[in-house]
Amino acid sequence: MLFNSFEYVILLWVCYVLFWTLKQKRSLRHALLLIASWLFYSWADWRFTWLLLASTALDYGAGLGIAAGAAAGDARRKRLWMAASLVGNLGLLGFYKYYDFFTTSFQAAFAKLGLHFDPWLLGIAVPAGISFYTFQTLSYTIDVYRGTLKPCRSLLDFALFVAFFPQLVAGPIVRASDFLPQLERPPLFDAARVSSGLFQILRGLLKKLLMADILGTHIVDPHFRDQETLGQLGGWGMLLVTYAYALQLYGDFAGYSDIAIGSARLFGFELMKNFDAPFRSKSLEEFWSRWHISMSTWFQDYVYVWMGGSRVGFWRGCRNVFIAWTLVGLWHGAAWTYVLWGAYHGAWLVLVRLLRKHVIPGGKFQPGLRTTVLGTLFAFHVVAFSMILFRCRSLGDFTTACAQFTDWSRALPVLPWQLWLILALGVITHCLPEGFVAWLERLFHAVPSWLQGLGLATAIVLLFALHPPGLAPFIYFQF
Amino acid sequence: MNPLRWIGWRTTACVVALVVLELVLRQFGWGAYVVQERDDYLGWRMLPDQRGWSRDLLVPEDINWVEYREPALLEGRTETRSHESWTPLDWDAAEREPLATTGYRAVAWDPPSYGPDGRPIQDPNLYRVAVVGNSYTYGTSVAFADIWSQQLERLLQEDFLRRGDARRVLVMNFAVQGYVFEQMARTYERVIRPWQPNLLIVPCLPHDVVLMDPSSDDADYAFRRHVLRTATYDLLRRHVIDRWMPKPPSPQAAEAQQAKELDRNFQSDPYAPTVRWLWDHCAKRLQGVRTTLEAENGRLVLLMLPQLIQLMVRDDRRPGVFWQPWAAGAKRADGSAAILYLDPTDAFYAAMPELVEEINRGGLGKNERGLDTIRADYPHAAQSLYLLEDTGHYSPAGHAMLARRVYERLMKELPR
Repeated sequence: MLFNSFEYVILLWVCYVLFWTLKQKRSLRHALLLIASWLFYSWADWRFTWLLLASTALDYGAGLGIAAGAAAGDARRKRLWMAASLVGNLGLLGFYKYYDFFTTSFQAAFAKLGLHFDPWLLGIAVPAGISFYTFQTLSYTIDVYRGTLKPCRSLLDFALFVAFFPQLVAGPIVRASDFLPQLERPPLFDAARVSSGLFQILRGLLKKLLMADILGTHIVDPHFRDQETLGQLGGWGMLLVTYAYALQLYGDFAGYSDIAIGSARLFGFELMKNFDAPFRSKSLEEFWSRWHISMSTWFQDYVYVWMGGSRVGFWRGCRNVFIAWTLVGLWHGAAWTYVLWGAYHGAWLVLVRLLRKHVIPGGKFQPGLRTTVLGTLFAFHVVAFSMILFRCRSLGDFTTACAQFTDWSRALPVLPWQLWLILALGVITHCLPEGFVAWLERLFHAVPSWLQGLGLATAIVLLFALHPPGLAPFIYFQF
Repeated sequence: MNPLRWIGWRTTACVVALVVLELVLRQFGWGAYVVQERDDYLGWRMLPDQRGWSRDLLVPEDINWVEYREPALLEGRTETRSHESWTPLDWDAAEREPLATTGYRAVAWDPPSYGPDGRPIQDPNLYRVAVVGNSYTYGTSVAFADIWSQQLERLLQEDFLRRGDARRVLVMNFAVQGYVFEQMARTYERVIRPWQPNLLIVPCLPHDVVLMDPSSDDADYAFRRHVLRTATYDLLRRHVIDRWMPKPPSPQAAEAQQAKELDRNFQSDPYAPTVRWLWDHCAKRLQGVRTTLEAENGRLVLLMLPQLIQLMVRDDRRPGVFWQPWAAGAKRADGSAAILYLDPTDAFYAAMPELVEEINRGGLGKNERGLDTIRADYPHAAQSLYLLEDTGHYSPAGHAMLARRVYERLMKELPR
């Protein structure tokens, strides 16, 4: 089920009314959300719901098993349960997401050596949200294993933690240590919180429908269709399409996260912030503290730190950064373009570390307007260039796209003024003072409920009028 | 535990605002048109189960009633027209035209008939005539009962009864506004074939031979069907979306562009040697349809639709120049004509000679929508078989004339 669909509006509204009606009945309340979450997940394709259930059962059992092992002082039992969780989750992820990719890659490599074979392939789309919920459940068992989290005794609560519909398909990747305690607390209805949730949902819809979908439909998708269309762009055109895609990806994913966070807030739950005006970043490191925050912190806590982080010396720390980011790329998708995308970011982050250590005096530039502007522009362009890799379907497409930057003789594609306006608004939203959105939100809270209702009705009508025809799925759904 | 408590003023205000807006807009006439959606194979199709006015070329149907000049055609009709002259349509009194669940302008059809082996067969108790086409046959701006296909059904049924033939006659109108020949052929292949028609009537206009435009800006997902029908969306569509929003590029933009270019060339001279291949391509396509049809015991009828503009040009500038010899060349194994070729152009000319002369002298005017028009006070306007504000489509009298001519030829040519 898509957040931008009418079905979701109905589901959210019905759940909201019933949830608060059942606020004194803990089990019923959680059962309601769990059933709604499973319905949400199986709406488009019910065949993979068993994966969600299997992952839930496995990690619920693993959490209890690890805790029992720890209580009995049995380290081997703990390790066995941890290994079962790792093998189970990564096995499911590896099989459903990466099997075809690695098999065809091996096939191609062997073919170059003259060895031909015809492997069996799954040939199916990646089950929705598998990358997100497997990582979420893994973080739970790892935390229980590390002893930083008590295991969840209630299967209902644990299943809800895994499947909670606002964040199920594309994050934010919720930590059990953040979410499970919220399930324990009795919900307290707070009108200000509800209007804050609605405001967040509206923000998300605006980003998705009016920025991401329009830029995608009119600029990005037509030019990224194939190598022929890419090859006609020229340097200026490629630059324009790159900027448009950067804004589209931001609008799409940040919009999704906003709707997820806002939806959860309607039920009194707080999910972690996933985006924070990322294109304002003055450096690449800052960018990754503002973009898909739940994923970058997950990799930092469970991969980078596990490998030793920066405690193992400078060069090994650099290696760890590079490996962790290459894995981030692979996590995004089963294609060499994603692997390269991750490696590219890893390489840049290593380079920045090197520069900080050996070139830049004191490890950082002197703060100032010029440094801020240049740093922001530089970080944005490094990121935006990587997004070409993210968007290209093949390395051949990427090569063609890069070749466009060698030809500046072609004119900029002609765009209607409305698209320039949206591009400009996309940039302006990143240049607004930090407190502007908070001020808007306060303004929204200050008006009476019925006026908020009229505002919502107006927004619904306008969104229908202005967004392109069709229901564009969220880009991150494919991961 | 009272769920109403949690609905609150916000939701109430939102829902009430949307409902009130919808109701008010309906009162002011928004949302009164039939709507269509994109179809990957056919280009577009009409949404099933709707009632509304056609919006072909954004022509509101408000000027099209005229008294029949062939009263015999009114026999068997429960409804009579009292108008003696052109009058504006009374929006409140007039009934909107229904579209069946099939998405075509019809009330209801019998489902296809199937044999014991599960394959479609021709029902021996039913004489099915399938009609494809575009706005001319869809009956833009004309009441459902007045469309030529519906009148043909009545005429054929009466004839069957007179002859003691117990079979029921069913004329199924599969016309969709804006369709060109390729879309009609696809409609036959995908939609009509299960009905195994005894006759397939393909009406021909010169413009029908152009390539189909694959692009359509209408939406393509299930829920949006409900949105498309609302008055609110109608308002937004006409005043915001069509006016202010850039049209999304079609995935087949290159094809659409090519079709548009060709269309421009074709409009300037449909019979030029440079566009002859379009006619040939169409003929080849039609040949395929004919073969399939004959294999299923059906027969192809090619009907030249008279256009007002053609009544004023030389004979060699009419589509019959191409289609007549082509149809004549199509023979069955026994040497008989495989295709029934009908051209009622002369009958149309004969029904309105003074008006045509007058138009030849004074020309057509243009209305504010840029359509060819003759006003009600135009000399001999009462003769017109075409709409006054949109001379590109038939008036009810035109439909009646066409139905009568088709019926007469069918009676003459078809085995009794």
